[in-house]
Amino acid sequence: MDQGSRGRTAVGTRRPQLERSFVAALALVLALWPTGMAGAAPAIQVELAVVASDPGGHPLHYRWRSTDGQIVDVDAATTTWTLADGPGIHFGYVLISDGFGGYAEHRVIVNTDAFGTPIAPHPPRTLQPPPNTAPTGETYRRFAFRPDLFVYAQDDGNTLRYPATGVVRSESNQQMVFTGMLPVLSPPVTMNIHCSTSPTGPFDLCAEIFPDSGIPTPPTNLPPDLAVSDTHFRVNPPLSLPDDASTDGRVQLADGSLCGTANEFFGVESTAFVEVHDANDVLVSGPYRVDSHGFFEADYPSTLSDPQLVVRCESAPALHLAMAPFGNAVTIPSTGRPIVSLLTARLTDGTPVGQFPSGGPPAPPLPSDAIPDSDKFLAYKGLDSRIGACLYYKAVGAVQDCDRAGNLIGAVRFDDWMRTVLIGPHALPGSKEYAATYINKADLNLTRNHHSISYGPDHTAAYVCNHLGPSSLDPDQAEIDRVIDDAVNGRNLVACVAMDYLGAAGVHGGQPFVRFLIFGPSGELLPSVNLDGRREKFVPGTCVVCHGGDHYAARYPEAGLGPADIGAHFLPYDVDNFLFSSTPGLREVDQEEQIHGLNQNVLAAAPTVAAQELIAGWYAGGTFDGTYLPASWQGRGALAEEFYHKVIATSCRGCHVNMAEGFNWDHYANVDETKYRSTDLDAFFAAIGDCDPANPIFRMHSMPNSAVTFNRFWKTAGTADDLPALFDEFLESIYGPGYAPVDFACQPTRP
Amino acid sequence: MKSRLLGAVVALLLGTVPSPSRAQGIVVDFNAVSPGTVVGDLGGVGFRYAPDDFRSSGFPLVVSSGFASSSGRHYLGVQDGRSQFFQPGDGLALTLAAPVDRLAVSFIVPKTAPDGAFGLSAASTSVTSTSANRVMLPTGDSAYTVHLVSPSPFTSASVFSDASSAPAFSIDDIVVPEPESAPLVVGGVVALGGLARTRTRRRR
Repeated sequence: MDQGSRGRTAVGTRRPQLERSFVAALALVLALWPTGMAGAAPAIQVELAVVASDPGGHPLHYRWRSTDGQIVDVDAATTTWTLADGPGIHFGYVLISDGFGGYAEHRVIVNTDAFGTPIAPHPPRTLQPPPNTAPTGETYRRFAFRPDLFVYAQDDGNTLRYPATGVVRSESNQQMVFTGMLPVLSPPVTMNIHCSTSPTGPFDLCAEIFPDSGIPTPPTNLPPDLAVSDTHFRVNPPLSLPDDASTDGRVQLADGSLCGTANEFFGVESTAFVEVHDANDVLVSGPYRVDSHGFFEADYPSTLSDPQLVVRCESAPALHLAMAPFGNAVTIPSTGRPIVSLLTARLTDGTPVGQFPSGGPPAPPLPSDAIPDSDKFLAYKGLDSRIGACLYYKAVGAVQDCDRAGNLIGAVRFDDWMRTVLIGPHALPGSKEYAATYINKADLNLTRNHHSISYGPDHTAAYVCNHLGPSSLDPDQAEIDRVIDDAVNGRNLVACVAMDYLGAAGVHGGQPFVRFLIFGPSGELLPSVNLDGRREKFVPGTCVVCHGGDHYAARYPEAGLGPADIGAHFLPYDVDNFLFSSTPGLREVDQEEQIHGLNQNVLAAAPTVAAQELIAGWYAGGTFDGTYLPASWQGRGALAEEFYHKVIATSCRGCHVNMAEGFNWDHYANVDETKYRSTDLDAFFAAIGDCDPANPIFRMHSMPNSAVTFNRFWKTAGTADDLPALFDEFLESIYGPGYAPVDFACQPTRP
Repeated sequence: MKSRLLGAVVALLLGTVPSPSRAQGIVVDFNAVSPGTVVGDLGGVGFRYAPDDFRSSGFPLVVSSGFASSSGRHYLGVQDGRSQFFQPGDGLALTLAAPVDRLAVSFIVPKTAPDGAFGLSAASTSVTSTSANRVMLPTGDSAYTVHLVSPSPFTSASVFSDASSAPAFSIDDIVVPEPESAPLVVGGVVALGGLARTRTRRRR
């Protein structure tokens, strides 16, 4: 054979193979082509425009964020937002500031159900958490009465110090976070909290916690492997400077709003500062940072005559005031929160697709209106940042990396997660996936489509797709039917939250753990979700507030490799807290078996003892029994039984069942103030009795910690079925007359 | 004359560019140190935190991780209980075991930083960062490596950031020449100077 014939023969035989390979490769490329390219409709762009004014007439500045898609963050009143693929609900946010302490955040909602582009295919990604050993020790949070207090904790034998070197600094919300605390159960030791207003001291003893105090003070009676947070203490008197006196007060803008903001979603933190000057306007002490609720404390020599208070709020002219010994009420003149009159979203052809305000009738007043803080609800256990959220996702294998701003790199998508955990279209043959659709009226008032599957004691997965809920706390059946019908037909999808209980090689010894992932309507991984309409809150803090976090307090670590296992749990499905459709197939009776299956899968995912007992109690007779009364509550009289069913079962148990044992109110013995702050009445009833303006109100009057549950509870005040009054009555039955709070002025939600 | 010139050039180059060992000198990259380790002295370099805010002065310097850096996954940060990033206006005081004439420090930031955001100063010489110092990292973050060359040797240097323009940052890859290379460089500079004077006289 000559060269030519060999070549021809070779070419002749190879061409069909090349063609087949080329066609196959082309098909593969087209199948995997990225969003917005071949095979996909062009992404939809909307123009956002905000009309705002400033009470002080100051020039306004703008920041933009969105939950999904790509928004251009530009300091202008208009911007462009490229929407994510697919139908669903998308949120665009603007934060407006005036440079004089005024901030206003608003959002516009765009529903792409009617015009969304098809979801483009994406190359598959694998969820593979990086190797991770269990972190040493646990996190412990306390509250001071001011920001910028410098503390360390040391045992009475001077053998344990946290942090080992340096200090912890109280933050703008007054919290102090100690990490790596080791439980020492025997022998018990007293922990001393040393504090100073200066980072270099001198340090004085500010709190002394004895082993028998009943308060879980690390490392004494802190149960092993449990992160906790604890009550507050005051530096009183300020000890770092002998002969000092202190004053306090509150700073606000002329419209009553705060100077500055603490906005973790936009990554902006700004606050006022106060200084103490002498009569000649010479700085004596400070600056002292005003906390995130506007309160401050400032120290000065008690010998100082005619002390002056100088208050600085961003670019506003410094305010000079004669200083009162306490209770300084400072108002920055000619300032205020920017007022947004209109925020619109329009397609590029001008078609309106979203607007704030929506133009509908004003919402009826709610008890939570008295507590407008954006971070009051769904934040009791902690509040995370964009960086912390990304590092959490990195630890659980949901992203490959994070940039230094906390943006997700190499994120998985919803289908990647379903493929990994074998649910939905990826469920193994013969497996049983349970599903139910209803409104969870008691906590978030969203319409929810739940799915769950279990392959045994070390492999359970569940997800819930949240759709818009009813327009009020007490919808009629027609509205219930309508929103549930929307959900089952895929309309008004806000986000899907996925949970699984799986182990991973090299992660915490391969032991299964619970992880959370949030996916937008397009399947895009999201670091945050806005479940109460107040603000986007990041994972995992917005999850652990109800799902529990035995290894979580204050925040997820914002450096290094944090724990993949934060000690969270699946939530039992409490039928009595749901609203069902009247449509056959979606009624409660129709879904009873499915919900029973959902609850059985909870039991397969290492639930708390409380959850195990609760589910067992519900189904003791075979079918769900909402009249279940825990054994420890039985025989304690009609008042206790009424309190359990009307208050605990509807307003507390849904989340407390997933907390550490001390918070498990299904065990009557835990209804005791000395147990892990398990009856943190300050959290429930605000600053009881004294209305102390310098109280660490970050957590005050924040229970129930979901705005929906809060409103359901507090709106009964003054009605025939007054639950706060029932709470008072029950407390007095335990602790005696006068125990319940009596200063209703401290409880703005009381009529 | 040619041999003197060649010798001077060789001496200068030995101290500046070509040989990896001499060009790199001592590299403090923090990668062999566990995250969370408090840093006071490392690789013959002494570190002291110079915070912009006196309220941060109780925080020790620590080896940190979690985000991309200019080399490896560890870098220098501040034990602040949060991201462990240095804050705008923060700086460092460095002390060196022996006199050197050069120093390089990498500043790691999200996205980009404006010109002049970071700098080094020593022995009356100061240099600040520009976009020419920037290397984009795979995460989209940036490393700005600032080089300082001083006409006179020094044993202490300041690392600084501009309080009004610098973003939060970390520090990595502190490069100092090996101690023995400094005299070579100084000798080379002296030789070049002598050569220049000779040539000038000849022209005259």
